[in-house]
Amino acid sequence: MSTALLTKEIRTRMRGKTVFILQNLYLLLLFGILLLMLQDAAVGEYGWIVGRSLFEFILGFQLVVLILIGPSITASAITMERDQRTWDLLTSTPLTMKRIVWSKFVASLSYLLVLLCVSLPGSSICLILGGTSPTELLFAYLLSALAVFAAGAVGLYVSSCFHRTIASVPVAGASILFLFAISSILVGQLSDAVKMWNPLYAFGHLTGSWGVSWYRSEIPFWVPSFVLLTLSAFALIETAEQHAKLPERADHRLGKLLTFLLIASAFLFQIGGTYPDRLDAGVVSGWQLDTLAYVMRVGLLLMLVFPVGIPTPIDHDQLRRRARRSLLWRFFGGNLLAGGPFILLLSATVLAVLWVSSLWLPAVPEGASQMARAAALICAVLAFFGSAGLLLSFTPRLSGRFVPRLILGVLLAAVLFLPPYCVQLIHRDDEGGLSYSRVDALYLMSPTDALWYLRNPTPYLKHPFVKTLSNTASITTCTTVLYFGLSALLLILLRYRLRSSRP
Amino acid sequence: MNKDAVIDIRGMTVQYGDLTAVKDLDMQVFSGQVYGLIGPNGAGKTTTIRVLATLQVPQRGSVKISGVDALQSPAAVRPLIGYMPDFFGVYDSLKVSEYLDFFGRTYAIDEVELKDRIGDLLSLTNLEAKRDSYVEGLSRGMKQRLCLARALLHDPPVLLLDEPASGLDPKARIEMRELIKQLRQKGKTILVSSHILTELADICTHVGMIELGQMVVSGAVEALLAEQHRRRVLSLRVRNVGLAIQSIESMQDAQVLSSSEDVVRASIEDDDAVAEALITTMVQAGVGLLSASEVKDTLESLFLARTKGQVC
Repeated sequence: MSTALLTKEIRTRMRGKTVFILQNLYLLLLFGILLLMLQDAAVGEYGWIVGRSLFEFILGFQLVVLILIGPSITASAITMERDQRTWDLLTSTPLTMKRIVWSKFVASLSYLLVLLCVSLPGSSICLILGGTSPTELLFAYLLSALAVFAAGAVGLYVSSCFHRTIASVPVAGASILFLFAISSILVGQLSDAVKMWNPLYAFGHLTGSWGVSWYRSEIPFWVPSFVLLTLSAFALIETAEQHAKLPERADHRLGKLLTFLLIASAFLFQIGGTYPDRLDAGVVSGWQLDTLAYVMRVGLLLMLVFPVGIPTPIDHDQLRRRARRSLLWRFFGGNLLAGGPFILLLSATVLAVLWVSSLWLPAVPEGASQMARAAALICAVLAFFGSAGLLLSFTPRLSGRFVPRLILGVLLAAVLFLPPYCVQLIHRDDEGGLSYSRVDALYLMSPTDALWYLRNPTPYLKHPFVKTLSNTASITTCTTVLYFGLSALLLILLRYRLRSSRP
Repeated sequence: MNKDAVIDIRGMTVQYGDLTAVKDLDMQVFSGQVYGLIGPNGAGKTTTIRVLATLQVPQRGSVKISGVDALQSPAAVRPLIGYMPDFFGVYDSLKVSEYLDFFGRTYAIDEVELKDRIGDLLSLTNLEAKRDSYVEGLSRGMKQRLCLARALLHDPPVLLLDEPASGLDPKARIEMRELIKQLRQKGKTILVSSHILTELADICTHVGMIELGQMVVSGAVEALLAEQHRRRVLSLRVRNVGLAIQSIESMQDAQVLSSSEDVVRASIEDDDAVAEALITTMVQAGVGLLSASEVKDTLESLFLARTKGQVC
């Protein structure tokens, strides 16, 4: 970090009345709530109950406020320099981009850390009343600091992608809402790892009353949260640093490694937290398939993410040039070839860990034909995403700009992953079945569900067309064919696009 | 490659998508020279300076400053240069002395030395009285001078000044010009760009004229003007520009340099007889000649003689 930049940033941020007024308003609000709660509470024999409530309320409230404020402050870290036209002056000094980005990030966070520190005297009242311990209080503050760090990293990342503060601040706010609120509701139902990543869940389980069984050894919930939040923050800051550099000087190797570690950790927490219990209960069969489904779920999300440039941007110009030259690139889709090795490495690592762990886990192997069908489905879906990515590279208006790519990525994800759940929510009848609906066809669009049906019967699908596919394997086949068809369509479009884009 | 060249650009090409901003540019600036980069807006001056300031990477070519490769080792080049962009901002909530102190510290200058240097630079740029004023309260001219002081903080041997007098009033322009002259006397190697030729005429020892991203002519001002002496530039005010151009083109020793609504500039051999013949031809052709004057040998006439005034 550069002390010069840090001093300058803190000087400019802390100067003026606004900061003073905001800090005091925050304190007034916090202590006002504290006083109100103490007034109504029956302190004495049951003081510890009041202490516990105060601890949970004040720190919970503070965590939510800081998570929401954090990104909006860091979102201006880089864009403000661009707005003020000082970015060139700053980057032409001997300061490295790493020092610039970290100094600006820490200086932005310093404001929030001051808010965190000034609440300490109020929170320590809980220690006098009882209901909490100094260790718990310390952990709660550590978690808050880490959550601010991770949420701030989201803002910094957004700041590196935009040129104007007026755009970066609302996007950062929306991103944090999506990541910590909406994603937990939508995806959190499917994945424990997403819940573990959310600091609010971690705060709720801070006392260790609810542990995660990770390969038969219980670990407190906050441990995976700390690991995932730290890794994601470092990955985002590293990617922001590379985004801020000139594209020719960017080096994404460390960002890729951090992202890889993050996803691999999420997998291991997810799988380790799920399987031992279910295996003990004797209800699980084919855990390899489920694992594959998870790998695929994240793999697909990555394929969505690659075209939108997070976290390892693909050089779309290079893709375009290669596609013009090479039939191989054109056919398989440059995006698939560019992103494929990363996903393969990820899948291989996770599967290797699982296979090693199967030495003491009673795994039930599935038939070879099921695995083959699963592999065919994965190939079809990857072909679709690969073709989509390459097609995107021929549209500079989309591939060259962050926001359209992001919107496109989110829309693709929504189309692929949401319809099945909408259908289930809307059309599930009392007996647990699904009635006929035109929307049923969309059910086939969900590759993870298709994988699921490899070994789970679907007696509730009543569509005349689907009825003929009552064999569960056929639904997977149907989805595979659908994706291959879509890929073929995209490749035809690509061929047309290639013709029209030739000089 | 010449080892003495402080700024050495060879075969540099910079593209923005399909647009080529700079094409196969060669440029050498030697120690102590004040090199004026002249060209119309969009000619590639700012792009060239940004590459030298390590803020941009060319698609092709090599760029060296004091023998250090600016493309391979940008971090090693930055302490060697003082960069003043054409459009720049300042940190409004800092005071003048704090602003300079911040940039001085980024160059890891010793604290005591930095304090002295800030004092000297404020004196040089005539901003002593504004030491404790907030930057936001400064006038445009003062901000320009402050930016120049910032570029000089680490005492770099090379100064890159991109349109240093743009947007300034006449008095501030003169002040800026005098400041650059003082820096020249201190032995700095200065690359200064401008599209206002009169600005550069007084201060430059060498000039390079750039058009459509290509170097049209480069050399010592005196040598170029001496070469220019062999030809004469006439500014002709006429009623019928089209006919006037036809008349000039019909002569062997004359060529049209530029034309506007009622003025045609022509380059002819430095011979009174040719000038007389040209005017006679135009009068006989009935172009409606209103006035004819000779453009003196200045950078302006040189620029007009050597370029076509096109932009990318």
